[in-house]
Amino acid sequence: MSRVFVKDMRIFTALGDLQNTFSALIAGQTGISRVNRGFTGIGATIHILNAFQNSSRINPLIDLVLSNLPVLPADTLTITASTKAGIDDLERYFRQKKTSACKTLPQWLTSHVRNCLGLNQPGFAVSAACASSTIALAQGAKAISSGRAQSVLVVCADIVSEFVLRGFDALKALDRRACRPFDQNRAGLSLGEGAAAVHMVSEKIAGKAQSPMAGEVMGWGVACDAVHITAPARDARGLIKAINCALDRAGLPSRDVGAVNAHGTGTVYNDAMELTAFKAVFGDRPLPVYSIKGAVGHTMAAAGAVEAALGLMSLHTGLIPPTVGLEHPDNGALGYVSSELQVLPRKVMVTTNSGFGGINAALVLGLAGSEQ
Amino acid sequence: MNAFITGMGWLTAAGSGRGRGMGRFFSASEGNVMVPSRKDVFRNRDERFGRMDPFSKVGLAAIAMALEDAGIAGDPWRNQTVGITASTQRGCLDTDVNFFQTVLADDGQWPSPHLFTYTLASCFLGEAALRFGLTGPSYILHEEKTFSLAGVRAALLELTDKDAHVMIAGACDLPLPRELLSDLDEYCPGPAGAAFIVVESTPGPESAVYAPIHEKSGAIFVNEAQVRSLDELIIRSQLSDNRLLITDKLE
Repeated sequence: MSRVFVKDMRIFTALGDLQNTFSALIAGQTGISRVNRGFTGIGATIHILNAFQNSSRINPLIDLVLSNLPVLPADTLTITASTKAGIDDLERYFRQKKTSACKTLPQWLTSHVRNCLGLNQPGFAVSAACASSTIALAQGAKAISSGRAQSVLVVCADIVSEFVLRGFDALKALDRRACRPFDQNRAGLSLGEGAAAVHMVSEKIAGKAQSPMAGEVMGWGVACDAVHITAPARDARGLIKAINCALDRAGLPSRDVGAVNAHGTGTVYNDAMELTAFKAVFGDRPLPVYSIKGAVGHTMAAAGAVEAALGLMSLHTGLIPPTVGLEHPDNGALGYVSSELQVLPRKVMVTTNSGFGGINAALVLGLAGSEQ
Repeated sequence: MNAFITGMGWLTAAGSGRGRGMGRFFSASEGNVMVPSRKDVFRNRDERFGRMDPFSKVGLAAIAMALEDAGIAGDPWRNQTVGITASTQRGCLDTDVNFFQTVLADDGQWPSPHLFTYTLASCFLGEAALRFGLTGPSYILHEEKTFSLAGVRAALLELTDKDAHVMIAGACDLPLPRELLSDLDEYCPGPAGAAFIVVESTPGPESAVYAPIHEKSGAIFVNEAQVRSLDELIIRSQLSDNRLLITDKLE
């Protein structure tokens, strides 16, 4: 079994690229504001994408994370993740009939990435609601760990579209202001758009690399609640199983985990469920838990990989971002979630995501080469 | 690693069926797929079924038939580690179109929250997990072909990696919505329908096995012969001689 290293990672969110997003997170800034793209609402959009009005914004968004990637081995396995890919082209098709809706199909994203980077291995596109890119990373890690692949590129992206914004609004799942994860008065999520490209390699390739690795994917777990379609299991059974599975695979006791990047959407039931899970797995010790969705919004299928990349930044810097939007912590969140910058006391963290259909996924991330 | 096919169920333009007891052979033909009613799928009352989108109904029906065929649709399997992996080409495009029509209507005043819930292709996996207590990994793989083997390949890897004891694997596609026919017809060829198999790494003593199945370097083999599509896999399994109880074999 090979260890799985992150060689390179790129993200783009409403707060900018990886470095800019992390710096803004540390400073407690938010990218959530009024959306004005012919439809209105609250969300974390990438302003430079506003200029693209005649074709899908998914293309320029993907380009933002692919453009500066170094040349990858041609046999790199491509795994992509998106909930609705270029859904804005479907909107345009129905309004103007001037464009094709083919970018609505997530497999388009896989072909596009392979073509852009000259990769010759057939890839695949994963769809598992808001846990899509977490599962894509887990799939990539499995492929490397088992020796089925030496190099895997995970690319994920979702945009803020009228389709998605109107849908979540109809579900009454959106906070009327910027979302407030783990807050007593949380009232729903804020949508965000974002993309990530994470290049994972085997121990063999990592050993030959000239530059240090960005981190290690030490464990992964995926489990379904089998309780409800849109609501999480109140006893958090699926998330507990996913985290425990990830820790088992990493061969680590829960006490070695220094912090948890929670899904932390700002919806009443999700955040409560997550706190139940974290207390069940990590006990009563004051473990720092945080959510970045008050800053970059809920980037849907991209959330998992965006958060994994930012989590590795936390491991490198030893800094845990404040949970932006948190004003009055929920009783269950006291001592765990903070609106202040925190110190990351250990070199391992867990990141989790959950989604419609009761799906849950967890990753254990570490600093490459560190002995835990 | 060798695994075993212990159940199969399908719903295509040619009709519905499962491996045992219905005297029908699988056929994936072009044409419309008849969306099943609750009574076609479940004997007992199911409040949600009637409200589901056609894509979910077709997918769930094929999964239910596959589980029944394998004899593991009952309560004893509740909360065991059983996962689902499914491939799709068109996903829930039909539901996407129907939802967006509600956004366009009446100046966007009343988008349907109910339809929006089903604009994720993975929703029917959650519906199946809920009904059958399936707590293992479940996800969709978007592919360029209908009846692709991607779901089966992923399921075999989940079993190999010991992330599940049993996997339900297959594919689900509806025909293109008529509003998108002229735009996507060339991009989305292939017959519609849903077909799922049940794959077990270590079948129980009462399991009836159709055929052994394994993956090697991305290729799928049933009874040691390579198959290149899900329809070929199911037909080959149906024609297999291995429909014997494991206990019979041991004797």
